[in-house]
Amino acid sequence: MRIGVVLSQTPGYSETFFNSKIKGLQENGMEVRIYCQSKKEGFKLCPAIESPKVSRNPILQAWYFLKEFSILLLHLPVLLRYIKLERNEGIGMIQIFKKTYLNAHLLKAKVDWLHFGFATMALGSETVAKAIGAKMAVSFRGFDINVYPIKHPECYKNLWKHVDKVHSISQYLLHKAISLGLSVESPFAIITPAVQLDALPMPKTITTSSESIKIVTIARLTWIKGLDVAIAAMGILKEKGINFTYYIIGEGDQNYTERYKFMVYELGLKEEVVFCGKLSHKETLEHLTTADLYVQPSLNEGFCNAVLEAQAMGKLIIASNVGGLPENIVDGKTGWLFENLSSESLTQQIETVLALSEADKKTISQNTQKRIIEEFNIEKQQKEFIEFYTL
Amino acid sequence: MNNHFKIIIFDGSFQTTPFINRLVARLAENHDVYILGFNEKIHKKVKNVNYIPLGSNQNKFRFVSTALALSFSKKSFTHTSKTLNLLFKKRRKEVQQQNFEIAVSQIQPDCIHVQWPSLLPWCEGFLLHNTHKIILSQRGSQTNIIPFVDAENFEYLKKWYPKVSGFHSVSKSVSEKGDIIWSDTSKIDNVIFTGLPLEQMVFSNKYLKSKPLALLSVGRAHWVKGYDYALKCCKVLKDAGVSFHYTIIGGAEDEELQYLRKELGLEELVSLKMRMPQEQVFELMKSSSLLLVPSIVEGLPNVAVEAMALGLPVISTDCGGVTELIENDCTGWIVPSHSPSVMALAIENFNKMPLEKIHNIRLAGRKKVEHYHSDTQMIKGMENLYKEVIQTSNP
Repeated sequence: MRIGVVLSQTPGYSETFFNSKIKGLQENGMEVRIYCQSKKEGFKLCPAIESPKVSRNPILQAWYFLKEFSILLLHLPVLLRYIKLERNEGIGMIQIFKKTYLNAHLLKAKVDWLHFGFATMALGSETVAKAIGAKMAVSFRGFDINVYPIKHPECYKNLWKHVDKVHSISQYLLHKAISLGLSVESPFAIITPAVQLDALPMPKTITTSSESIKIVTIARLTWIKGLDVAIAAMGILKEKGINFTYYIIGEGDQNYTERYKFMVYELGLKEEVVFCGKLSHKETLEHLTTADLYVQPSLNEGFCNAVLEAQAMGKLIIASNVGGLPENIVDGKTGWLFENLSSESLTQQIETVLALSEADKKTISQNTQKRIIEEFNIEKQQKEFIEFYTL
Repeated sequence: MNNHFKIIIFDGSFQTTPFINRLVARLAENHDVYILGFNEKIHKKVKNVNYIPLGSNQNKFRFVSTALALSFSKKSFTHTSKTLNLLFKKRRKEVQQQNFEIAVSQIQPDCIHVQWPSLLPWCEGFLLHNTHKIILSQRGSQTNIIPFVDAENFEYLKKWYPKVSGFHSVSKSVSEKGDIIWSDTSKIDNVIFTGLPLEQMVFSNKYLKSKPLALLSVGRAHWVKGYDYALKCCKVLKDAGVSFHYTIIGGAEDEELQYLRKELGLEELVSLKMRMPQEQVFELMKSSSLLLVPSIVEGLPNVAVEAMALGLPVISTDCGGVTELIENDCTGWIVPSHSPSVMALAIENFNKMPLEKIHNIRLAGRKKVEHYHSDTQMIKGMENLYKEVIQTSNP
């Protein structure tokens, strides 16, 4: 069986989710190809095919057009089928011409499944799978379902019509997609992200008895990560005389950097809050090993890999009660949830956790690791993906 | 010494803000005013003001011709050859720097009024050799925010501020921020409030507290505006059963606000609108019940001054210079920033307030604005600052 995965670019080294999925499929005799806009240097896991180029230079663009369409003539039946499908959707000929060019790399594909890595990737390519005689699959990851449709209502109307099977990383995203118009009858599979446990440093003990508590968040500096909620909570903690340092690992554009740094300045937290910027995966994990508490204040998450990794390391985790996070964490057993957007609720939860006995903390930590090992391991994920295409 | 000055206004662009346009129009009545800019696009030039191009950022031909014209005017072979050399090597910024310096040396101004701290690097040569009097405006985020989140920027300003001859601050609060960067007994720093053409801004006598209560905010969607807190405030109002509708002019297209509006269930109660021309904004102010200023940081929000001039009551956070404009319960209402529930409470109180009290506040607001925010006081303040700086000998 041949699977074509459509992504914006080939997965990076640390994107375990895609890489382990591909390896798993290959080990089971499936052939995987990636269709993407740009190929990263050194990606060798499977063949990667780039999408047709778009140039501002009209002469160059005319040449690209000519080249692509000449090759497409070798796939004439597919091309005609595609044009017919698009005509049925009420698309005009000029638009079809453009779409044919942009989808040329997919129209030439010989695959059994065309799997769009996230819902927005499928926009403009909804009928391609049918045209090439493949089944169409799509993954829901977070932004594509949580945020994009707010600005673009009805954007997935055609996707819902043509998709053969959906993959969601959480129950939450699936339900959200149904509320956006996905048919309840659409075949689906929930396959959560997984952690490669042997790649993680495993701290032997957890302690929060030290003089100053170390709190960590891994997040891009952008609004949906809810960093203002966390920073406000840190302000309250400081007022209460709690000794802590809060590390934010991740970078953002100038606007968001100024927003959060100014908030820290305003609340007088320059000593307590450290902006680490972007760190490598390895450096990030090193930070995590020495953390007493991990906080995820996001306004929404499809599932959240950072929380998953922190759990695998047995960290005490507090996350907002929103999106896929309540599936990621079992409240009170493998971590704690706080009321979304509420810094007061977050502060309360932090205090509650800090007040636990060492024995209780240890139990939670062990529960957490056990659940991750049993339910979020790579082998389970790989098996689920094979079933996704074969069942 | 006479009272007729040659003044360079340096904003980086010809398309200056309405505030600067009003200022130069009035200054040009008694002084020679020059606007120097890299961006030469302009809809309407202000009368009697000289516009001097420094090399267009938009048009290559204009860029080259401006540079050559300026360098020929020096009538020096070495100068022209240097210009040609820089042009040839496409060292745009150096050509512009040279253009700026030639233009200034030809004008021989009494002072150069630099509108934004980010433009100081262009003036380093003048500052270093003390050749011209530089006046710097302190008005917003470049004084209030950036120095305090970017240590390098703070150090830069700290290094150059002592060489600046005088400062204009739009509020006491922004002046205090500037003092954190550098302060000295000899520092000239005058607070000059924004001036509005009040004679054209008619106080509305037909005020109505509409039901649902029409709440309004005006300004681009940027985090300093605190609209995220305003939306959380709306959620509190909704839960309390208050009947209202909130409009944010300039809030359309912003992903965060759209997301929050949906997440907080406010789609029916909040409109996010595109920017609109000032006349339309003023019309909307006249038909609204209350202006909300939920900002985190402001120099002094012009929109609040405008609302008060037109007779629209204002609830604002205590950001920046607002407390210099609004005295709580006298000329409007002040709430702490970052506090949606307190703002909601203030709105509920307003909603229950007798019209007579609101009317008194509106009148007091207009009076305050007439006293402190007339065009005339702004021009007088600015002329005094120029005079003070020009007559003070440099240390």
